[in-house]
Amino acid sequence: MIRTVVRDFFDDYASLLDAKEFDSWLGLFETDATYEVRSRENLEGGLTLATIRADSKSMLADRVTALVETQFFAPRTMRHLVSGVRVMSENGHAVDARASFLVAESLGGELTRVHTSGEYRTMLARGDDGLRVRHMSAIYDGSVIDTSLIYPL
Amino acid sequence: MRSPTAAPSRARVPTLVPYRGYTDPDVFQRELERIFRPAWNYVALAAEIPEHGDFRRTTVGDVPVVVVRGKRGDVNVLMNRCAHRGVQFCTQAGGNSSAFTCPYHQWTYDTTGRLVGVPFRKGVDGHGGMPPDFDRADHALIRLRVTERNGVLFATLNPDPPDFTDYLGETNIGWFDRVFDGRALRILGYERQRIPANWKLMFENIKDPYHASLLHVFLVSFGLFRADNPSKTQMDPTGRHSVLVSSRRHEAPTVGTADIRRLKAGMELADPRLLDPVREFPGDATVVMQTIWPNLIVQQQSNTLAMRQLVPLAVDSFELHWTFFGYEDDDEEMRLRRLRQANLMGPSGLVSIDDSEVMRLAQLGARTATGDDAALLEMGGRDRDDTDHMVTEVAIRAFYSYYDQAMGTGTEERP
Repeated sequence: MIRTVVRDFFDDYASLLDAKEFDSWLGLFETDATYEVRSRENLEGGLTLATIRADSKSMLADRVTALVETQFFAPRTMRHLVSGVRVMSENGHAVDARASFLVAESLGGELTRVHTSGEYRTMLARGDDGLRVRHMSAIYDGSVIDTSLIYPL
Repeated sequence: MRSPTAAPSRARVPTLVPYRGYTDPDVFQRELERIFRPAWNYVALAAEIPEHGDFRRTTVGDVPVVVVRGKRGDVNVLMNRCAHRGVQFCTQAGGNSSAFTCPYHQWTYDTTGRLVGVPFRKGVDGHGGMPPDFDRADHALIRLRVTERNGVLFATLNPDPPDFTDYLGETNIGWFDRVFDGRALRILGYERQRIPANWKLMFENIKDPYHASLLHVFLVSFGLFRADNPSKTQMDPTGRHSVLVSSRRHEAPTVGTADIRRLKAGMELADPRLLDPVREFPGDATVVMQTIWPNLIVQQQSNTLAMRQLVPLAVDSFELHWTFFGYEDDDEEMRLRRLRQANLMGPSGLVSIDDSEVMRLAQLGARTATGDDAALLEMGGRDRDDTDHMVTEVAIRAFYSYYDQAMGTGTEERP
């Protein structure tokens, strides 16, 4: 039952990101949520450095604003495929959930390529209006990123 | 200060860079031989391998190596190629091991590269075995020369390398010692990205402060790097290394920012902890970017410190390996500040995304060039002298002055 709810959550999460509806995507986070994109290499090496790190929803919002307003990059479409959703544990207030992701990147005039694969490790808060991110780690598998990782995972 | 023995000031200062230098595979092969192999290449930080047997896998140019801490605390840099059949025996990015065993025939080497084990050396039941005059001492791993300065490790295939202090030169060694002042370093983590561009474009990018005040709207919007900030560019006597130094001021944007079309005036952070720089080094400089020939950028932007190691893969591809670090004596607040400011750098950096994208596009442009088509390097003049501003491409001109010499393609000025 809860697994279905978590699966729906990830479907929303991924489709909002891919549609670049960042305000709605940010709406899936609690105010004091933490978010990180981190390599498996750093995770397994016990190294805390994150590729993207936000210590609050505001900091994540700042990143999105900076990305849209100040960064230079060729336009591209990202596509997240999320599968293998698992609930590790749950109680009345929170759900500890994991899922696999595969992200394809399509730049204008170029072939689509697999950009990143990895695993979401997340703590989701249960509220009256559904699940919200309390903590999200997107752990990517390959230690080398092809050019840049522009949009959040 | 110019050393009186520095001949390169007589070399012609290039103001054009032929595009074929970014696209010709023969040029790339010559660069590996003439530039990377003989130079002091950055390989690791000593803090990554504190204990006997701690190792990191990396490269010197295109040569795969293992950097390993020996029994007596010394550091050995060993070619990652078995002396038997050439197998790249070390496949882990790092770890700890008192010996390295090739998976193919289990030849085993100690942390100095000495061959200590050869299975079936004397044969099996009287069959086979190595010839009687086979001597393990003749089959060690190839060892590179190593030097360490204040916790930073460099290696070279040059049998007679220069002293590192002389190599870096008077001015640049001072800037190097500013960050590496003898304090113990703490590794925060790694970032790696592969960029579809020639490796020299990365050096050119860092040696060019002119672009930073135009392309990096994020930096400019928050006053971290601006054309009107007090700045200077200083080269070593040969021109191969350089440092860009800039100091942030707190006044409102005045000079130069009107030309920046994408500037977002009045942008504010909802959570200012993303940029919360504190002064931590002596002097006024808030940004110091040092490029050390042939493969290292030492980055100090506010409180984010990183080694950026350039790994050349092909004429149109290189990797950038970032090692972010702080100091052992950082308090928790400083550790978190460095981790937050790391958002500016790396494959998702709010500054470096711009650069990676521009380098990719520069390579696409170079690919379409023909004949002697060349890029232009005249901002700030046609010389290669130190400057006290950032509206200049002088450090790139200095780089190519030395590059031409190293490649044997330089033209001497007529007396």
